[in-house]
Amino acid sequence: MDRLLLTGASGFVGRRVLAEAARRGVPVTALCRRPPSGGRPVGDVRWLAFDVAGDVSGEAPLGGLLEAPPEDPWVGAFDGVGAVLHLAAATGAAPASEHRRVNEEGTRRLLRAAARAGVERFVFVSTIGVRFPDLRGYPYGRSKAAAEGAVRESGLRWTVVRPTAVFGDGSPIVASLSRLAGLPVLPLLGGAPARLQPVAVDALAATLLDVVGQPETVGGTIEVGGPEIATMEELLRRLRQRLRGRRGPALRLPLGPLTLALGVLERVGVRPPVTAGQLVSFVEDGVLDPEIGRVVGETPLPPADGSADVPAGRARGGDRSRRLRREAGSLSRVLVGSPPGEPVVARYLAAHERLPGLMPSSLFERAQVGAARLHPWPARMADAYAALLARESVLRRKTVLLLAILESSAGHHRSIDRPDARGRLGTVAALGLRGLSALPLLAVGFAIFVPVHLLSTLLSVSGPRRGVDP
Amino acid sequence: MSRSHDVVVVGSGPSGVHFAWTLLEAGRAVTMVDVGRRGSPLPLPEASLPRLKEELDDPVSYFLGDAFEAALLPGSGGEYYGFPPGKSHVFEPAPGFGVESRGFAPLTSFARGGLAEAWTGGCYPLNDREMASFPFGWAELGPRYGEVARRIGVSGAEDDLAELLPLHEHLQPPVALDDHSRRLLATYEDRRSRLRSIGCRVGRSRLAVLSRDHDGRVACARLGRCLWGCPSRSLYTPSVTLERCLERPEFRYLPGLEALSFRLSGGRAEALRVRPLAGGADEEIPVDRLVLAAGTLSSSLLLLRSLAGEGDRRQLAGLMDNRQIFVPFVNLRQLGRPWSAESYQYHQLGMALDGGSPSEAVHGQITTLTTALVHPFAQRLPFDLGTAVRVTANVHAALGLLNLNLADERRDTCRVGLADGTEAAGVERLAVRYEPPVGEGARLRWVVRRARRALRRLGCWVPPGMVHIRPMGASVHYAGTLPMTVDGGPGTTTPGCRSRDVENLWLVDGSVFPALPAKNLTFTLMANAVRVAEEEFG
Ligand SMILES: Cc1cc2nc3c(=O)[nH]c(=O)nc-3n(C[C@H](O)[C@H](O)[C@H](O)COP(=O)(O)OP(=O)(O)OC[C@H]3O[C@@H](n4cnc5c(N)ncnc54)[C@H](O)[C@@H]3O)c2cc1C
Ligand SMILES: NC(=O)c1ccc[n+]([C@@H]2O[C@H](COP(=O)([O-])OP(=O)(O)OC[C@H]3O[C@@H](n4cnc5c(N)ncnc54)[C@H](OP(=O)(O)O)[C@@H]3O)[C@@H](O)[C@H]2O)c1
Ligand code: SF4
Repeated sequence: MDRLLLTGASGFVGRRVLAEAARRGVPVTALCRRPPSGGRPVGDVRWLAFDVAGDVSGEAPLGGLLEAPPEDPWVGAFDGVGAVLHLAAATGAAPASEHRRVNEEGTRRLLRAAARAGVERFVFVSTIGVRFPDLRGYPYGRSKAAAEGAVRESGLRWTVVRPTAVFGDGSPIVASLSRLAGLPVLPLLGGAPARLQPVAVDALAATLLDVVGQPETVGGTIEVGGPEIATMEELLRRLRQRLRGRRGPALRLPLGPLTLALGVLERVGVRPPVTAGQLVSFVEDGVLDPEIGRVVGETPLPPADGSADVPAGRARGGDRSRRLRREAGSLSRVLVGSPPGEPVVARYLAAHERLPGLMPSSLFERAQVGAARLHPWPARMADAYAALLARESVLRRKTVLLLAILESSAGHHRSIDRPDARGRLGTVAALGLRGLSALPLLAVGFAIFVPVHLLSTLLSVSGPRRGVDP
Repeated sequence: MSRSHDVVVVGSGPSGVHFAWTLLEAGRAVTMVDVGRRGSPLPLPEASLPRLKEELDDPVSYFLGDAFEAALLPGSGGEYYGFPPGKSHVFEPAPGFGVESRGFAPLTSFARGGLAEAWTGGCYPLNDREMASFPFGWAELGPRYGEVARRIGVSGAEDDLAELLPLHEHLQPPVALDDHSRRLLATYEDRRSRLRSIGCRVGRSRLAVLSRDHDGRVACARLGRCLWGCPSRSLYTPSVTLERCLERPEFRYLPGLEALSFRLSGGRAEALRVRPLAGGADEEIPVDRLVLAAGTLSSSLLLLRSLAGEGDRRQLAGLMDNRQIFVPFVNLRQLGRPWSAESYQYHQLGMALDGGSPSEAVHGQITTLTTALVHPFAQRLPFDLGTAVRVTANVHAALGLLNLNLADERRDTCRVGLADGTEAAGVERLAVRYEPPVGEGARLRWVVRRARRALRRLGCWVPPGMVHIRPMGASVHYAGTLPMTVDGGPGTTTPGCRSRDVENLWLVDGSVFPALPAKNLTFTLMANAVRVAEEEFG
């Protein structure tokens, strides 16, 4: 199979594209300046490390030891490559000159190198921000717009993809908005009227890979967003609700003086949570143009409090995380006798995004997990049964996962891995008591779950035993 | 400046660095080619394990990894610990190395320092009986074990195991025992005759762990972080020696290069073909004398590809690995006792079960549970996990794991060759086939029975259903594809580890072992590398 040359593979979006490519078995040549060193690599990945805009000249090969002239870094980069997915970009608070250099000049160089290597398929990832009506104070948007122009003129088989704000674990946008939302008084920059339509990073990653293989998109521009629209103000309030548990006071700030003040701060080297250039995204809409828009995935917006008026699109995502939270609470009481606390819950949720085999896939597994969500006691009964007759079932995987998180967390680890020195007799007595108290659990667990398990096995369609999380 | 007069070594694992250091000390120049993946520095070097959990910003990602890869969930195999995320660079693959295998779970490293960056430090010299099929014996290797011990710091004691583990020079006193290990050893001493009568001996492990400050490194401060990486380098890893080498002007270290094969001409290696990891075209490094220390699998692949380049596509027979068996136990005398999280984490005791011959002998390492993650263990208990966690806390001080190593022999059915496939010439993948010997099942059952009996006499109980027979390949003691023989043909090496296929090629890793006794091999790898450097390049 042809390789995919993926630039920006170490970035927030790039990492998810890599993971999705591995799942699909697509071999990838991955380019960025600093490839990640840790982490278990998945799939067939070959890393290249150099600057796409390439004027930081690479070190001479072998530290000058061999008498070879410095190589053109592009030589060999396209070996076996059938298509380019260009994500690498200066993002966030980079200086204007860097936006121009990497996003515009870097894209031109990549286009030339691809053309020279005879690789025709080229998917360029731009941003919804190129459609803001005035790009003068917005160097990032300007550089992306210029790059789009270069792509269109390249003569290659190109597609331009413009994502809306991309959300998900590790999202730089969510991180900087969270910094704002966590302030004692919520600053509503310019009133924060902009309407956003964020897209979930995994859905975007999958879409990008799809687009690479869709000849009908050649020569076209596609916008990609999620199913829900919210204003920036609403988003900030929901983030605040999640971070601080309440809505709290807000302050509307006029844009003009702010732009000035931020500009000064940046000049003197202070890093504010937003840069002057980024202020536009508080006032300009970043939603799909229905003509060229694709809605993908579930909404990544944090849920609003009070679910009465929740739009249908979001209800599912919100419900799921609420269910997982309830489950974590109940299982944590089983394991350590106390509630898990927000950091643990957050990791538990994150793990459900990453690890396979955590979704119930049969009637039996749904019953197990449902029981566990009710209360710690049914959770133990279900688990007591599973410990003997369904050791690899979803509930056990979930419980072991939570145990692993708890025992690696500040505070909780002490209630798990503590010396319990009560002498030999005391220990034997304690073990006996634990055995006695486990017996009725087991009896009830069996009474309930033997029939459920049997029924589930009888009914089971020949689908996969274990669902993989979306 | 091309330095074609240098000796060119591939690999910075234990074999490579001790070979190189020996030459450097003798004033010779060495060029080392290495993929050389690096990890990141360890956080909070003075904190003990429990303190790490309190003080790290994100302990969950430190212990379980960002992708939760070190969480061992039910259904992910029978291991007792996941590789810690901080060591993932040790196992990160190299782009040009591919392997397909049958009957064997291969593990390779492309790290600075090789696999032993993640090792547990067991340093066990072979005795004359075990070296019977080697073209040399204790007289030649004994002093080299001493030399390696001088470099890296090995601690141990002269006790009952010393009959099997000959004494060499520069042995430091053993590290302080944790409470559980101390009691086990005391029980053994009380019941010595009853245990000796069933061929069981117990004694102190030999460990590459400092009990005294040595060569700029400090003695083990019992931080209990060994598995996650010893922050004080009391537990030796080869990168320590690599750093010494890097201080020498005659040493050229070329990381970021993956050797793919070497170009042959008239039976000599002319140049090493390397691929820069950073991208760019392949390069050639001219060689005068080439030394492979890339680990048995990678060195074999390099030779196979190079010969195939000359139309000689063949297989190498005799791949070996120590079968390992995990036997978890509960020491009934330890029930209800306190334990301390601040102690050395890996094995501190060894157990030998004699056999009629060295190939039937078994060598085990006993690890008592000090600090460890609980979830891999608790999930095996037949209770709901709430109960299991509390039961684990009750029995923690009494838990231990005996890890048995079985000997292996070269057999014709265990081979490596080039995989048939579509790969371009010069980057073929390695195909590994391993078949256990006839009667393996019976042999394993017999060993487990003997181990159970020995543990019973030590006052320990082995809970039913928890013995885990590890797959072949899991011990990562790979050897035997190019054995040293006094006289032999193609596919062998001379007693000086010089290839009989390529005139100016030496192999100094496990590939040259003619047999694999039931002992961890790395100490012997290092001693043999010193020997070859002294005898062939002196
Ligand atoms: C968890 C664990 C615990 C262990 N515990 C013990 C123990 O207690 N006692 C013991 O004796 N042994 C132990 N071992 C085994 C020990 O680590 C190995 O035997 C030892 O590291 C082998 O050394 P080596 O130098 O031959 O090869 P390796 O360690 O495999 O090193 C190979 C080197 O070659 C380089 N390399 C490979 N291919 C290429 C290439 N194509 N181009 C350039 N460079 C290349 C790599 O970068 C690396 O530096 C353990 C191993 C593991 C994984
Ligand atoms: N995140 C969003 O909300 C969002 C929204 C719309 C569009 N986009 C677009 O999606 C793409 C990816 O965004 P992201 O959030 O993943 O950004 P990111 O996290 O900042 O990642 C940027 C990637 O580009 C690489 N890179 C940067 N400069 C480079 C250079 N000069 N040469 C080579 N590689 C370079 C970076 O790696 P090194 O630094 O290691 O080189 C990194 O891998 C970008 O094109 C961005 O404009 C993102
Ligand atoms: S206990 Fe382990 S981690 Fe701690 S100093 Fe000793 S060897 Fe290093």
